[in-house]
This record gives sequence, structure tokens and C-alpha cells, in this order.
Amino acid sequence: MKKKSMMLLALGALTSLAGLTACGGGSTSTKADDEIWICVYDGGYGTDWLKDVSASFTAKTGIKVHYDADTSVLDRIESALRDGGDYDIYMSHGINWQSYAANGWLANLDDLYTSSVDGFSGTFADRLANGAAALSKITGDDKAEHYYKVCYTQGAGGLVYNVDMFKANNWSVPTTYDELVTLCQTIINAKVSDGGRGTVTPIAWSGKDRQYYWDYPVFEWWYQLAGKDKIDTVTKYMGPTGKYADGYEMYNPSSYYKEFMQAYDMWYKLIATNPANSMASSYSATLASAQANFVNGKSAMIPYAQWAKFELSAIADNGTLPFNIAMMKTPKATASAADCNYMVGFGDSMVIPANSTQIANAKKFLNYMATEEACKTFVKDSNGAFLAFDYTKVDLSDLEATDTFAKSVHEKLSTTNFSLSSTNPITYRTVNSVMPWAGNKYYYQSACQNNDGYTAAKVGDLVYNTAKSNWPTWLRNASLSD
Amino acid sequence: MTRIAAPEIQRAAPKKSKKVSHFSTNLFVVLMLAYPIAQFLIMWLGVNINSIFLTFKSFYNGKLVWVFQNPDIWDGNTSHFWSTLFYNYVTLFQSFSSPDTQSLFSASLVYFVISCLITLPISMFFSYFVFKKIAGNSFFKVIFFLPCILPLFILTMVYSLSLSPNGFIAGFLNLMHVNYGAFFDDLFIGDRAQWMVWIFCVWAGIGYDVILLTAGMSRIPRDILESCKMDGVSPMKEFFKIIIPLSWPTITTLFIFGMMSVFTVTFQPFFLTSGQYNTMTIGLQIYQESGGSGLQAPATLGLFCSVVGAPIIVATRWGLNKCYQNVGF
Repeated sequence: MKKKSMMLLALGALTSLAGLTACGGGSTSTKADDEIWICVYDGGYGTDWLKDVSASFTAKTGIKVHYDADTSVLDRIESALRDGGDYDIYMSHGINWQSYAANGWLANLDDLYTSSVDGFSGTFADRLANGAAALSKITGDDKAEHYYKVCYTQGAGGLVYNVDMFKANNWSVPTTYDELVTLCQTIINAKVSDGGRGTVTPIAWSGKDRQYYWDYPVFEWWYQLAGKDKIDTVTKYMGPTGKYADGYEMYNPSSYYKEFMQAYDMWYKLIATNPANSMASSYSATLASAQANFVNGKSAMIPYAQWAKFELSAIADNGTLPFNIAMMKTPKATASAADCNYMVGFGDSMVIPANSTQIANAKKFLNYMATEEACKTFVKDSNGAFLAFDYTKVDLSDLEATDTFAKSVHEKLSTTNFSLSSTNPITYRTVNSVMPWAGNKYYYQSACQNNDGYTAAKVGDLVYNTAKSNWPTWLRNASLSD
Repeated sequence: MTRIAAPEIQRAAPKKSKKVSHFSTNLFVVLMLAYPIAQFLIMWLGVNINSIFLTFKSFYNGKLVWVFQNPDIWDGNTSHFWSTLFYNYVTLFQSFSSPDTQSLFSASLVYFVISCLITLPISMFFSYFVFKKIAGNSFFKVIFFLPCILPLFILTMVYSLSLSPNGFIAGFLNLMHVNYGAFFDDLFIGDRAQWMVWIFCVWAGIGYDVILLTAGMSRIPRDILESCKMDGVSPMKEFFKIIIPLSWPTITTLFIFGMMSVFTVTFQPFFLTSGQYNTMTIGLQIYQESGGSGLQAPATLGLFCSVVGAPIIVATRWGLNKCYQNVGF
């Protein structure tokens, strides 16, 4: 009897383990033919847009859409693509789609790119934002280029400001860097009450969690100072001789990277050496603290990206900001420069697993996302973010009549867009970003703490030396040689 | 006749039962061992063999292939055989000339000092304190044990928020009208960042060590301690001459764990400083690089550390086991 009990115990334990193991197996086998599953990174766009877009897609096609928002999607996407998972579409930043495609884990999307889109005379490829198609294809074993992803969002980043506060105090939105410097001084001199014992400070920002938000204006100043051609040259990661071996020369602060350091210097003079322009302790503040300062009217501006309204509204009372916000076109580096927009998050991807049983339906959904209707829904539900499709013919007038933020992002996206995303292996074989901040080392926070230690000249040397000393390793890890 | 037949049937029955019994026992053993063996084969052997294989692979056309299948690396020249075979190791050794790699190793080696030479001695002292039930030991038990039951993420968050400019320590000092200037602004930035991670590791590490040490000390027979007391042995002498020798196996284990922290400290700097300001460790680098597509680089670094670290750790263990060999109870 005792042995029987032990046997049952052992069998029970094994059965339980088998059962637990099976939990990860996914529901692919039980999926119906007319339904797709989507896994989206749980970030700053929410899931309302997915709910609405899915509903209208289902109404049109009869294909049911299920979705999960998940912050851990990147941790499990590789095994899901390799071994089979639950989802037919993944949407996230940071997907190593080039590797997955090379391994045959992603569905070929060539036919999607040539398919027609409802309500549009051209193809799906024609509906994409400028430059998105080029970032979505790689050369396959047949030596031909194939599409394996669709760009998810096109973005805008920069200084977000309190529209109502600007209006109430007759502050003009600055169009040049000099005007921005003057505006900061004007705000300080105005001594506008912040509703408590203090006065309004020009800028709130988070050095602890989001110092990289300063990249958005700095990159745009870099683009304006250096010009498109020079940035294109630099982001080829090849040296002056046209070879990879001395590619680190692209970080040389006295030649190829000169304008990047000039852009950094503009930031340095505005923020690092002028602490009065920022909320106290901004360089060590958390994101929550910076958000709270802006939402509570203690600061007039905050560096952010297209997800600003979504995230800032989430911490406001009743989920609604008590004032209108907008993203200003980054004040130009020089008066003669043209407005431009750094495409934040342009590398984000939407991919279909090759092992999905619903590839055709998943492509239909991606195709539907290119329609004007879906594009507009995304802007509305994500509070001002834009999909990586062409919005020139999407009528957003009714939305923009009441949403100053969506309107401002749209206007910014209508300027000259540029991106630093690249399909060069060195950018994705080395986890630490190689450009623009070599080794993914940021200096904004340190510069505020130690002004003298992080001047433009010193940071230029740091960036150059980091690139130079790590370059051979980065090249070898990417299997790049001349 | 029936009297004779009956015992034969009775004798036959146990034989059959014994066979069934053997089968049942064997089946039980097989079933109970199947899972751990499968776990070992897949999760340890399989993973490690795969990691070793990875160190002999490189990227070609977007795929990880054997180095000899990569025409960008292998040109067919036999004089390049060894440099091609150990392509990833050569890459690793080349990276040693980079200040970033040197900083990585020095930042990791510091954790040997922190774990073995700071945290462990402090833990031994406090464990004795708890073991002797000195007044306030229950309070200290909570203080020490709390970090062990909280997830690391929460612990690092509590730590960094407490020490932030708006944290409770700054608030308390404000109440006391203490002028601390910008002290709390800079704690996790620049050179201080390293110190903050180290202090965290000591604080969080003590609890774990204290738990194991008090468990080890509690096994020491009371008779020995009572005998010491009757002989008038001082607490200090008792600690060094009795407690430490009798707890030596536990101390040895913790010392070895401490040595391994050179390779295993990963998420403490990740949550506190994101690996910035020279706080990047070997473990964190491997973790972060494993999230990308260039898996051969972290695999090579990991194998190199194992090859170098394992003999040192084994030798240290052998040496430590030699101490107090003839002490027991």
C-alpha cells in the first residue's frame, strides 16, 4: 500500500511537471483559422488603438484579433520565433529582425509590400513613411533583397511645452537656439508662481531615468550643423579610406564628429552650465519626479517624445492633463538652418513569425494598418503618436482642432525627417550602441554634476577614445573586415 | 494431499510478489530520477555544450556559422588555422587592451573584496551576536533577514529612493535642519556610483550570510559552550577559538560563494546605475550582450572566466578545507 502510494506520488509529480511544461506550449494548435494573435510591447502607446483598429479590421474581414501587451516580449521572442509561439504578429522596439530573418524565423513580406491598400491607389510600399522600406529589407541567401519587417512608428522628440502657460505669459515659442536661451531667461525673470511657494522653472527633466531624451534636440542640432551628407558618411561606419579598419575616425571630434560635439556644446551651455534653466536636481531626478513637476505646472517645458501626452496624462488627475501641451520644432541651431525631425523609434518593428499558421491573415492586418482609417485611429488613441506610414493624405483636421499635441507632432513630422537607424551589422551585432554615443555612454548627467570634466572638448575625446579602443572588437564581433 | 499442496501455493505467491515489488521499486526510482537527469542533461549539459560551441562560431550572412564556414574569416590558408579556430578568443584577448574591458575586470574583482573580506567578516560578527541572543538580537534579525526575502528589484528601488534628494533620509535631515547641500543629488553619479553599489552589496549580502552562519552556529552542541562558560572563556576568545573553527564548513562555503560573486554580480549595478560610471561587471556584460544577436562574444567571455575562475576557486576550497581539519563535534 505504501509502495502504491509512493508510485502514485511519483507519477503525480511527473504528470504535474509535464502539465506545467505544457503551459508554455502556446495555444497555436487550438487557434481557429479566422483569428490572429498579436503581441505588442507594453510601452507608451497603450492598447486602445489596437482595440479599435482590431474591431474595425474584424468588421471588414471577419478575422478576429486577440492581443496581449507585454513588457517582456523581447525576452521570449527569440525562442517563440525559433520553436513556435502563440502569436502571429510581434510589435516592439529592439527586435533583432535581421538575425531572425537570416535564420528563416520570419515570414517573407515581399508580397505584402506589393499588395494594394484599401482606399489608396498605390501599393503598401507606397504608403510607408519615407525611408521605412529601405530599413525593412535584407539580402537573403539568393543574393536578392527581401522584406521581413514593417516599421512600427515614426517618431518625433524634442521639447514639449505647456501651451496654456506660454499663452498666459505671452511667451513665444522659440524658433532658434538663441531664442530658446532668451526664453529660458525670460521665464526665470518672470517669476511666475508655480502654485506653491516657488516660481516656474524653464525645464524639468530626468537625469536618472531619461537623460537620453536630450538626444532628440541634440541630434537635430547635429543634423542642422553637419548636413545630411556628412551624417550619411558618418553612419556608414567606414573610415576616410573607405574601409572599416579605421572606421573609428568617424568619431574624430576635430573632423567627422566636429558638429556632433558642437551640438553637444549647445546643450552643455543651455543646461549643464546653467542650472537655473532646470528644476533643482534634475540631473539626478527620476522620470516620475520630472513628469510630476511638469504636470503640476512647476516647469514650462520638458524634453520628451511622441508618447509624452499618453504618459503625462496617465499621471494627471482623472487621466487628463489640466492644460494643453505641444511639441515645439526644435529651435534651430542657426537662424539659416531648416527645421528637421529626428525619427524617434523609427527602428521599431512589426514582424510575422515564419512558423505562424496565420501568415496570410497577419499580412492582411498589417496591410489594414496602412489604411488612412487605421493610421488616424492610432494617432487618436495613442494621444499623438504616428505609425510609420505616410500621413500627408490622412485627414487629421478634426482631431488636430482639439489636440494641440497631435497637431504639433504632425507639423514636426512634416519637416525634413532623418534617422540614425542602420542595417549595418556593426549596429546590431554589438549590443552597446556604436553611434552616436560610442559604447552607449551618455554624458548629460555627468556634465551637470561636473561641468569642467565634461566640456565638449573632453567629451569629444572620450567618445573618440572609446570608439578607437573598442573598434577592433566591434568589427570582429560583427565579422566585418576589409 | 491438500495439506501438502497448500504450502506450495503459498510459497509461489511471495516469488511473484517479489518480482512485482522489484519492478515497482525500479519504476519508482526511474520515474523520480528521470526529471532531474533530464533537467541536468538539457539545462546544464546541453546549455553549456551549446555555449562552448558558440565560442567557435561567427556571423556570416546574418547566421551564426562555424568559423571555418565563414569566408570572411577563414581564407583556406592552413597557417591561419589556429587563429581562425580561436577567432572569438583572439577577439576577446584583443579587447583586453581596451580601457573599458580593463575597467570591467577591475570592477568585477572588487566584489571579491566586498563579499569575502568585508561582508563575510561583518556577517560572522553579527551572526555571533544573533546566536548569543544578545539584547536586541530579534531587531537585528529582522534588519538582516528583510533584504533576503524581498526581490532584488524592490530592494534596489527602496535603497535608491531612500537615498534620493526627495527620499526619507533627506527628509529626516531636513526636519533636523541639517544642511547637506547637494549630497543626495550626486550619490549615483560619477565616482560615487561605484561606492553606492558596493555599499548596497554589503547591506544586502550580510542578511544572506547571517542566515547561513546562524544556522551553522546553531548546530554547535550547547555542552561545548557551557563548558567554555564554566572555564571562564571570554566571548571574544569563544568566538575566535570555538565558534569560528566549529562553523568553518559554513564559512568556507560562504567564502567560495563570495569568490564567485566576481562573476555573478549582475543585477545590483543594473538596477542602480545601469552599469554606468565604471560599475559594469562581467555578469552584467554577459547578460546585456546575451540580449543581442552577437551571442558568440558573451559565450567566449563566459567560458574564459570559467576556465580561469574554476581552478582558482577549487584550489581555494581545497586550501580552506585544510584549515581546522581536526576540529569537529
